[in-house]
Amino acid sequence: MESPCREGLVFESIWKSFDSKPVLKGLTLKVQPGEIVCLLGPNGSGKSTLFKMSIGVLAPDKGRVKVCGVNPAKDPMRARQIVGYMPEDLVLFESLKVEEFLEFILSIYGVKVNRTRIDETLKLLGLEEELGKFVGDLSRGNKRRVYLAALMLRDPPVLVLDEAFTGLDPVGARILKSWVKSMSSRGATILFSTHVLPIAEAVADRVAIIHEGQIKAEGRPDELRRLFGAEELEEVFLEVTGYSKEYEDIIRSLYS
Amino acid sequence: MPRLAYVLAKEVSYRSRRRWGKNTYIAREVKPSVLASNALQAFLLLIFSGFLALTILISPAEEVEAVYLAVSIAAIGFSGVFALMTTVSFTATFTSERIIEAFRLLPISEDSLTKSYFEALLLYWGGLSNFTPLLPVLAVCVYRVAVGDLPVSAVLSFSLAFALSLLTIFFTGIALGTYAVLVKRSAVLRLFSTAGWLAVFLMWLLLQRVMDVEVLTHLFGGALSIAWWLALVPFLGILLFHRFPLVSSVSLAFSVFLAFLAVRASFRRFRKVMSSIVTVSYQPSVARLRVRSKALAYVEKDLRLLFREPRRLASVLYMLILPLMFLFNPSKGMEFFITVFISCIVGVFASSAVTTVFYVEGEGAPLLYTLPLTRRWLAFVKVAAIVPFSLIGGLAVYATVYVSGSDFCLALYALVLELAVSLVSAFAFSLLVAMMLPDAPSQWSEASLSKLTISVSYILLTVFILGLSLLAAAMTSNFVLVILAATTPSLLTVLIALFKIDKKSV
Repeated sequence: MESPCREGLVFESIWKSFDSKPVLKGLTLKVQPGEIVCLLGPNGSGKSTLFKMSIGVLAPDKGRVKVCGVNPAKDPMRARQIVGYMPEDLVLFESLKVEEFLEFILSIYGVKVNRTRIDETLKLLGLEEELGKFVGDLSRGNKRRVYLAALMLRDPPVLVLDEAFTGLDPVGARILKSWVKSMSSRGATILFSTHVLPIAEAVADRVAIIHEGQIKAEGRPDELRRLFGAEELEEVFLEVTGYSKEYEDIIRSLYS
Repeated sequence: MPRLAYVLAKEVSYRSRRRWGKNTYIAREVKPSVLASNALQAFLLLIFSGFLALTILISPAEEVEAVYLAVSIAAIGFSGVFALMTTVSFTATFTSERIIEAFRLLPISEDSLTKSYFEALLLYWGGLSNFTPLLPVLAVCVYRVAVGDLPVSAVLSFSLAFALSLLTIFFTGIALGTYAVLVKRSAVLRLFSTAGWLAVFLMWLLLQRVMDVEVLTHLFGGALSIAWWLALVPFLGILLFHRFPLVSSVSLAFSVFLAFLAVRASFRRFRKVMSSIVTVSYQPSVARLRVRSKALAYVEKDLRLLFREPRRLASVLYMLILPLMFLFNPSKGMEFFITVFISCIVGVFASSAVTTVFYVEGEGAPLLYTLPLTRRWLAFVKVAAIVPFSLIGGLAVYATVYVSGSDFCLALYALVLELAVSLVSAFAFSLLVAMMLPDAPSQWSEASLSKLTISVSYILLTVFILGLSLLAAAMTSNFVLVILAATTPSLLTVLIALFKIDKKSV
């Protein structure tokens, strides 16, 4: 891994609108080096928008983003070199074979070859047998494993993982969890999102719940549960995001 | 509720547009309309065939038989090319995009899906319009029969030859299209597919000859009385029934047999595609990942993507072969001028391959927005990716010039000029396209990049390159000056674009 940065990942008073519709409204979130933060939020709450700002694909209308002291909007090249970003909707070159795709990504990032590490990573992710296959012929889970292999081999100091657990089987999910934790113990800055709340509880040091463009609740999972008097993180999430008990009555009346 | 066939055609149209841009004829209305889906292509084909038919109408009685033959062959020829492109493109999109898998989840029987497929192809993809050239030619034939210039059997034999040819081509196209899903995985199929697309492109050139009714008439006029064996040629031999009934009947029987084979093969292939989920067996590969330089890895990736898309590869190779179709026979004193012209034309054609190398990124392009790449760098590597094509073009020009005049120096000069024009122009185009790339992550294809802007820039640059280089060639025989004149428009574009593109990331 590139030496861990001291500044971590900072989103400060971020505003972002699409077609005059505000998605993020002065959101602030900081992730320290060595920390794992999980961003929870309903669909369309702006998580992916925020994540894309970390590599300069999107720029905030107002506010400041810093990745290891680098402003991605001004220096996206450097930010993309620092951040290991996994998008929610994986896009890969489906006409390339798995090994060709990995070679391409590693060459673009100028990753130094460590034969043992490559072999072990591919073995760990069960990709040894898949190397000769076209990416387009892989299952959704295996496509994510390919992307994950590229990230693991890159070993970046900041990880931004958008729904990275989606589509992974329990083995794949466990590997990802272990890797994320080991990266954090080596000082990496990690921000991820998931809709699977037990994963958030198991992996994250801190959870932030985004709703209506702002962080509505933030803290350690046990702290949040205590604060909201809830047994599970799900209850906290539902309360923060305004889930109404009336929905259940409607469902019962319609379908029972 | 929209009919199944229409939904199917809409889906094929959408996928095709996403990949290739607006090159389909399907109507955009929500309400299915057979007329709107066929009107444009039918209109174009009617104009072509109408002009052809006119030649039968106005030809003198003693020539009408030869003209009838020439026109019939031309009409069958271009209808066939249209029919082949229609069916191959529809079936290839249908199979390679795995559209069938969405329909298989619904409670629809295989038979009704097959029926809807043919309905979609014929009614909503312009398939029906391929038969329109029959009408004007048939109408004038009937007229010449009525006035006694042609035998009655000519009408029948033309109808039969036309119907059987198109039937065969139609079903052959379907059978070929079903292989699209396998093309990416097999180098041999890719080779065949590229050759096939090249043949289709080149067929347009050949059709120009075939449609030269005068040439054909002259050819047939002389050959008709002696060449009975012409009547043996499948499909076309049927047209000679009135002259050689027995031999022509053999051609008819053989044509029916070929049509039967095509229908059977296409149904077999189609049912296979409909009923199976494509599974591919792979040889286990050994982990041998190599990390190269960034630029080399990128060029390698681009060439891989290009070589796995036969249609795009054929379009690049076609651009290089096209000028060589006009092998020249220079008159004394014109060699230098014509060499400059051919070198510049091939150079500009070769440089246009750079846009194709952008298009091959296709649906994978959004990934590039997450990588540390600048647009300027991308413009450089895209040019590097087309160097092999520029070189092939240059060698082709070298060979053409050498064969035409046995002048080694002139041929070498042609090679240098072609390389200079193609690489500098490619760099100009590459920078222009890189500047036009969408700011938000999205796929890059003919559909997402402004074709109009690219085409206009291309035409303007071509005009300037040809204008300046030919002017220089007319004024001086100094090689260096001509090269300078030929590359100046592109060099200026490069300088302006380099200034504007800055170091913006993808």
